[in-house]
Amino acid sequence: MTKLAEHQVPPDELLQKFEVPEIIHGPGALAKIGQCAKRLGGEKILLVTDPGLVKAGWVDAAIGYLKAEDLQYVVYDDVVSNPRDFQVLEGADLYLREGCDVIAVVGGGSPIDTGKGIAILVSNNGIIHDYEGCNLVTQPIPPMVCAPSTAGTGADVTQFAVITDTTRKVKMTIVSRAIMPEISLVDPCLLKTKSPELIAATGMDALTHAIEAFTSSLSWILTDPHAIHAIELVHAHLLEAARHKTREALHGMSIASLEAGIAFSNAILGAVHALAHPLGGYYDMHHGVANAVLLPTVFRHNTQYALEKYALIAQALGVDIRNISPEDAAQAALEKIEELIADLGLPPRLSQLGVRLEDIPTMAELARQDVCLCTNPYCYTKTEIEIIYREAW
Amino acid sequence: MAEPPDSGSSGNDFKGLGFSKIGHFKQVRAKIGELEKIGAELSRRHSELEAVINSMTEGLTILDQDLNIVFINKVQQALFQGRALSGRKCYEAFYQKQKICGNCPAVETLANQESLSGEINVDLPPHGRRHLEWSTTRIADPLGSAPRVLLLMRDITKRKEEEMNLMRADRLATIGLLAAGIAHEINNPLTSIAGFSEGLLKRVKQNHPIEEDQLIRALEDYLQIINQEAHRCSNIIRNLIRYSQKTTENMTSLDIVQIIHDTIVLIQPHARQTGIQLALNDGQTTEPLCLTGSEANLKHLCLTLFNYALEAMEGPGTLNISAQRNAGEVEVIISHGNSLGSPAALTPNDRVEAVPPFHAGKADIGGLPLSLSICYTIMQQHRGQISLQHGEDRSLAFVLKFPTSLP
Repeated sequence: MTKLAEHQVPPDELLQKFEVPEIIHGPGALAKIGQCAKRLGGEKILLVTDPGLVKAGWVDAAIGYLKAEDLQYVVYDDVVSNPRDFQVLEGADLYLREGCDVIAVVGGGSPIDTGKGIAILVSNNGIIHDYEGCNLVTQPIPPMVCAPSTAGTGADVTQFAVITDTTRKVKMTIVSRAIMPEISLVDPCLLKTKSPELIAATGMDALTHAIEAFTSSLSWILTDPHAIHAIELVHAHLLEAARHKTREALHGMSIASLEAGIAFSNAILGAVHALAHPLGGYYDMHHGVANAVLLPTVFRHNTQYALEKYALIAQALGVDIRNISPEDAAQAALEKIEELIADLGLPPRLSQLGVRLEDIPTMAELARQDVCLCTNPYCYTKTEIEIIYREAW
Repeated sequence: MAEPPDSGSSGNDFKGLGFSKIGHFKQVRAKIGELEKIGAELSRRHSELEAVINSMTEGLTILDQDLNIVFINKVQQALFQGRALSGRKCYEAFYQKQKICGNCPAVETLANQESLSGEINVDLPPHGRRHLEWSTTRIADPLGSAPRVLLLMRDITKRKEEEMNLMRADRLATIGLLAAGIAHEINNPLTSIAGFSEGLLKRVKQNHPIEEDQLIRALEDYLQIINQEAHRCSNIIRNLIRYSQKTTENMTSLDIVQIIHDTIVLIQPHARQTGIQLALNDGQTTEPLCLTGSEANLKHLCLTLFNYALEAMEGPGTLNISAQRNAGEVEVIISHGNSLGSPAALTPNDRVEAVPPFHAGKADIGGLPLSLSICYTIMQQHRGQISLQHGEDRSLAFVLKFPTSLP
């Protein structure tokens, strides 16, 4: 009894949290989309997707599964890479006009983030810009079921949504436990119709997620195994998946993306994402490509602040670290990553992607303000960020 | 150099220890609470309304736009004892017809949003033939798509019977009023009869012989006069008897000029006593001014109004009565005024008031005599309108308007 009285309210710094949605994984998992939507209480489903998936036939398949459960549906497919604020607004209007209930998404990070944005707007008031930042969603949002069509984004299991502010040309990061989807249907079959370029770019996104989650100041025992396993899987399968789309490789990459997502949703990210977001806002650069081009430079700068962790990353990337120093291991890991980027045929320099030197100071200021920088092993100053941009240029 | 973001507090933000998927449970619970409140309020209003409806003395029916009966109250069910009403078409349930009635008021009310009312005679076993008063009112639909009709029915058979009795009593009272004049009217021929018959008797009893031819001639002349005078008496009496007969509701096509003429004959002796002349102006038409009505009731109406006008005149003069066709209606104007030659002389500034409705059975309401209330009832029965015009010089005119035919 005295012990209870002595019990102190712990400071939040001492507490950790781990949260994941319900996950159904496996070839053909998409077939459960109707059942899941119905289970979430749906009668009329807003199906968010993009034109590529319509063309590939996955949307028709999903509609078939919705119909099989006697569900009504409305399709919103006006979504582009780096989804725009007005697209979220359009989708929310459609949802309200058609009297939808559950939101289902078949697509990559862009449709999933659009779906999250729509969900926020239809039950919380205002515009999507009002929710940029942490934990600003206060009202219950419509249930969501997501079937990710790329292996990399992890948005189907995260509390993040990134939407482009078309007026300011910046990517707004919305972080809220409230917007985590209810159910994720991870179906590796959906990856078959992706182009090798997209598999490469999204795969690098997954690798960046895993590395940044592992080195994050918020990483802990429940996130680390997922992060490390995701790195191992990318190392084992990404090249094969991009080159030959073998069933085993795609399966591996779907797990890699999922585990990286689980890890970074709870441990958050780091400087690569902080620096990549302005590139998306300014140049509409694909998120995976932006991450890939920045990862090696940030990796090199970060190493000194979390040496042990970078050595373990090297191990996950297949480096034998038993007889080498942590510095050498980290260096070996960096080389492995650069080699992978080269093998995938991704551009290694910002200058090759149309980035102008004169934009760097402005982008550095935006990156410094990005929430992702907070959990990086070291919090860079604006000048230091400019240096990193220039090195990657 | 600017301060870097505070990683400590942001880190806690990311952890979202105090945040999670926001469930609808709280919302739903609040909504359920709200709905329960609304439900309780609605059911309270429902019972209030039910009590109001069941305490009504009118029979109440609600019809949907296809004339199906969707609701009836207890009074209405009692009125149509032993019949299934709910769910049936109103014309089947109430009037046992296969088809919708011609000029159905419910349909008209639905179309024009106008409230209508009227009376109808229905055979209602075991009650027998009943006189019902009805009204229809449109109930707007909150969504504007499916309006309904509220139909009220009230059994006024007893009131109708009382009205009849009252009318008859009023007529008998009027006869009493006319008695003096009529007695005088009968007295004249009776005096002639007496005089001439006495003359005859004298002649027959004379001792000195008279020539047979002379006697027969005198006899014929005298008997002729006696016969004529007796017929005159008989006519007056017959007119009175016809007037005092129990009225029927039988509506027939009749000539209003003839009715007015007959009434003038009845009231003339009374008027003459006060030095008033009655002048009928029928517009010199040879065409009869026909309308559908009850002869006895219309005569009663004319007599009462003539009498009322006579009372209002304060000395000798002329009471003008005109009858003419006016815009599809038959218009009767009863007017007087020493300065007024004819009703046309009434100026537009004259005050025009409708005779207000009042209940039969109460002797005197609002200063108007019982007789006028009966006039109002008779006008209603004929779907007519009655109005009273006051001239500035205390002159007075009744204007009656009748439709030429009843629906």
